[in-house]
Amino acid sequence: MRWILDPFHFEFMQRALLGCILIGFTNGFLSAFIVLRRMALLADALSHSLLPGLAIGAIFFGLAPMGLFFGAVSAAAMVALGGQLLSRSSRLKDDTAIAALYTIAFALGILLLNYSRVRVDLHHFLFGNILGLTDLDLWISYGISALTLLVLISQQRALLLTLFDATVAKSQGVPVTRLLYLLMILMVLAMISSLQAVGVVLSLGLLVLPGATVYLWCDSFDAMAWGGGVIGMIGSCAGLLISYWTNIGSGPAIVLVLGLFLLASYLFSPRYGILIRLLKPKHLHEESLARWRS
Amino acid sequence: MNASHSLEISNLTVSYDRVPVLHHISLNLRCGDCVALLGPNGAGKTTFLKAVAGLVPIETGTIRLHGQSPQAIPREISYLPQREQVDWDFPITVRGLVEMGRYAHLGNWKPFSKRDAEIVDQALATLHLTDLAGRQIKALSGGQQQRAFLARSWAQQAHVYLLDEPFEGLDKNAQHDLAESLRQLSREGKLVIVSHHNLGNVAELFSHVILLNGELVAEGSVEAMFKPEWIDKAFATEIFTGPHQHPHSHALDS
Repeated sequence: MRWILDPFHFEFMQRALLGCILIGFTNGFLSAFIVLRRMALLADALSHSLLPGLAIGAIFFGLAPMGLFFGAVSAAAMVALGGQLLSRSSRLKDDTAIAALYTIAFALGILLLNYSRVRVDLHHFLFGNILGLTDLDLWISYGISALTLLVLISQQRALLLTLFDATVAKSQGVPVTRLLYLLMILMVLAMISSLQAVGVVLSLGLLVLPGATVYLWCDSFDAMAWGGGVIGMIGSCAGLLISYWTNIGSGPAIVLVLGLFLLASYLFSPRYGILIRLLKPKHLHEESLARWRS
Repeated sequence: MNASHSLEISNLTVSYDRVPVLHHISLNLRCGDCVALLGPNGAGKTTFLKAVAGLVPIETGTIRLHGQSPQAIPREISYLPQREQVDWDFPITVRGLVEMGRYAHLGNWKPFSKRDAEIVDQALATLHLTDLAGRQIKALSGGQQQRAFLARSWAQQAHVYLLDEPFEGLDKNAQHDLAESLRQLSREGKLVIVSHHNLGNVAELFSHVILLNGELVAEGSVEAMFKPEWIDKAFATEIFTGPHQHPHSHALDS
């Protein structure tokens, strides 16, 4: 049974587990907002657009985390704002505009990586490597987690009104547009914090799967946000340990565990699962008969 | 009539892409009235409600509630969205929805107090939803859903209730219950304005009518104004069919 405790003895694994707790919880908490605002496809686009930013960061600053961080933030901001600009100034709709920009950005990113001074493995950016977390990576994760949770919790009521009904919220004086931009910024930051762990492509999984899982369970917004955080955290840690024990990549392992959670919810959730719907009697005949007689 | 206890609209014009849909509407409504907003499709009923709620920009004119601009007192005015605009799968119960009405008073920071909880309880009781408080909003009938949104506005302590076709798709009993709720609100001194298209039950549901067809055709009590000659005029198609000719562009110059 020693193999179970094995990973906890290594410093790189302790570091990776700490990273998973931070990244999993923050992404999972944010996930509720993304699922309810239907921003999943936007998140997908922005995650891909991180690549050219990383490439430019690598060209100018090598693999210094701060250089990569600012490169990624500016690239995502450019795609998001550029998409808005394109859709507002022409007849293109915003989904087309953003899809166009992010594929261009992604292609540019792959091209640019060839010119990086340091040899960068494209694979590393695309799929991450959580065992390579540095101290600075962890500090960045700490910072992003603290900021994200602080903002989301302090603005929760305004965000809830906005997510539920943006037009009415606006008429009540809620700064809807600003809040939605804020949400977009937090989303990009959360993706950057999970970049090292799961990479550009799989970072979306951490942002969508926990929220989707809890959405099938509950009728409370609070439960959805906090539950998403807990699911994200458990899934990330479990994925990491499984990847260690079975010697598979940590990124895919984490996303697959979260995917299993979603599948289980979809099938077995007592409230919105499909099995309960199939097993329930077609009509409540006995019950209504009893009520009718009483 | 106390001037401060009314909704005063003067010279209201609203345009979409510079094409006016409401033309120079002026009218006064007293709090405590239950008003039907009548007119054919495209008469500007929804636009009128949205303009009063501050959801669409107005081109000319003013709206005053208790002598104040609605923007100054946004929580006094409550707009109930049309059913299809609501995400019924949102993870929220009836109670959670009604609690949202208190956020307008609490902002982001003030804790949800006992008093707030009492107001929520009262709102649920007033709209006969106490037994349904724990239900997710999709698990309600159409009429109950309308009442849940009314309860949210009530908890917000709104004074003016704007409803867009709330009777649409409700069966006879649900219509009756909703009408009873609306009458109760107006008895409490609230102003209720409802866009409506079934002329058959106007007299039993409402105390006042506004007949609208791009411009204001008539307005007043049901007894005085809900007469064939006015209705025919409101539903006549020739009134504003072509593009509207007289310029509203002076509003854009300023």
